[in-house]
Amino acid sequence: MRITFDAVPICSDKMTGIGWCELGQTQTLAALFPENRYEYSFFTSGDNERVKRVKKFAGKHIKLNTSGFSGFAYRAVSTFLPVPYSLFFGRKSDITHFFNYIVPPFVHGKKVVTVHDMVYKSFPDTVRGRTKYMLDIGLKRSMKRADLIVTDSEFSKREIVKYFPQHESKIRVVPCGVDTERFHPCDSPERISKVKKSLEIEGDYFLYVGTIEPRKNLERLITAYAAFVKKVGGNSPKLVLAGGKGWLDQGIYSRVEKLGMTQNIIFTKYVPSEDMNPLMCGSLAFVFPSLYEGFGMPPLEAMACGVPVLASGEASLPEVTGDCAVICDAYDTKSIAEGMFKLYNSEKLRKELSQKGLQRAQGFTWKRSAELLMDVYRELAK
Amino acid sequence: MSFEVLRSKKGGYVKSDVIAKLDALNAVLLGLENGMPREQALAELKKTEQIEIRKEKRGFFGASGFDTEDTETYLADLIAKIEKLIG
Repeated sequence: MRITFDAVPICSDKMTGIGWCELGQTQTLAALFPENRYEYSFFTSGDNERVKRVKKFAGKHIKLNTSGFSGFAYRAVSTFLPVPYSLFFGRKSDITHFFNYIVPPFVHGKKVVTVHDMVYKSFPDTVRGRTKYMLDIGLKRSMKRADLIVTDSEFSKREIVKYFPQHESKIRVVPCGVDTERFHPCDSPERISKVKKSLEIEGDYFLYVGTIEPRKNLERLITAYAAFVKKVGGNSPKLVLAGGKGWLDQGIYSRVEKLGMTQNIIFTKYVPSEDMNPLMCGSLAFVFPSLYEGFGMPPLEAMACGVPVLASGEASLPEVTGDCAVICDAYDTKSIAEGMFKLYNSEKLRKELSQKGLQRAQGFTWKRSAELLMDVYRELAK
Repeated sequence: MSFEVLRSKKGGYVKSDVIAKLDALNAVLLGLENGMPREQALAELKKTEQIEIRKEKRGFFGASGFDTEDTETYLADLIAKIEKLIG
């Protein structure tokens, strides 16, 4: 089989969860099934750095198929005019997989699209206007164009069926995996001290990793944390929020100031990939009371590091955490604060969740994810 | 397996309205637990009654809101907790 992966999500120098998911699945798939031919296709927009980055990911199993045209211009034009994708990337592939919701017009061969979640329908206020606009226009058409639709969790499948019941028979669930080379219990404690020092963190801390945006429920987490500090007093652990600035984040920063928590809450600068593992491992617990997640990669990564997790019971999160986390009510600041206190107060609970989390994370491997994805491709090739 | 406290449903209550009301009620609850005077809590609770919760449109062009039954139960529980604390 000749399989093409649309490489747009892995082109950026600051990759998001969608990019990491594509990378984990495609690299593992290509290594596990070398009998097929694979390529990453993408518009370079004349940027050589982009080519270098993707080449590094491609390794020896995946070839590059590039076009010098502007990806931004293509996406903008192809939203309204049926400019054939095959005009830029040829007609050689048996299957082309798009990992970021949108299938462009006139792709040769069979088409697979990954639809990660339906947040633009379920919580439209938390999505950027232009993203919502593009999905409103493009997703329905994309799902019609796709021969099969891949999604990350049973929850997301139910969500897609809720809004697009006509495509139910085309949906396949392929959960993401966790990269155990990046996320594992820390084997060098001195790295934890170094990373803490570089990020100006002193003492114990709760950790959140993810974009700083309203969907992640950070305003309520901050309010809950303030209540926790009030209860525990001076020695309470800090709250570290590590993640890129998102959209509508002003309310989050102003909440910290309003509650007088500027000394207790640390917004880190950009955390390099190699520092993430020590940062996770050094935390007292990982907190993730998100309102909506298509999968919920960060809590899984924390579990893979052996870090106890506090998560909400919303959306797909229970599928990921199972009974290996303290579950809180995302809408109730008191419930979040109680969860934090439970974890802070009981070393026994932290140890127990750490062990259970490690075991559970072992079930989410990229190998399993890649095998399930190959089943999807084989189904199409029949 | 799902622990969702407020399920989404086409139609239903407008999510941002519900969340605004929940936040206001939670603020009263937290305030009471941190020594907010009874009179002030009663006044704050009264204010939350003014927060209107609209309904989403149903049908083909409708949007997703919070399930009405879930929302009403959740709000009633929260108000009961506050009233218990006010005494």
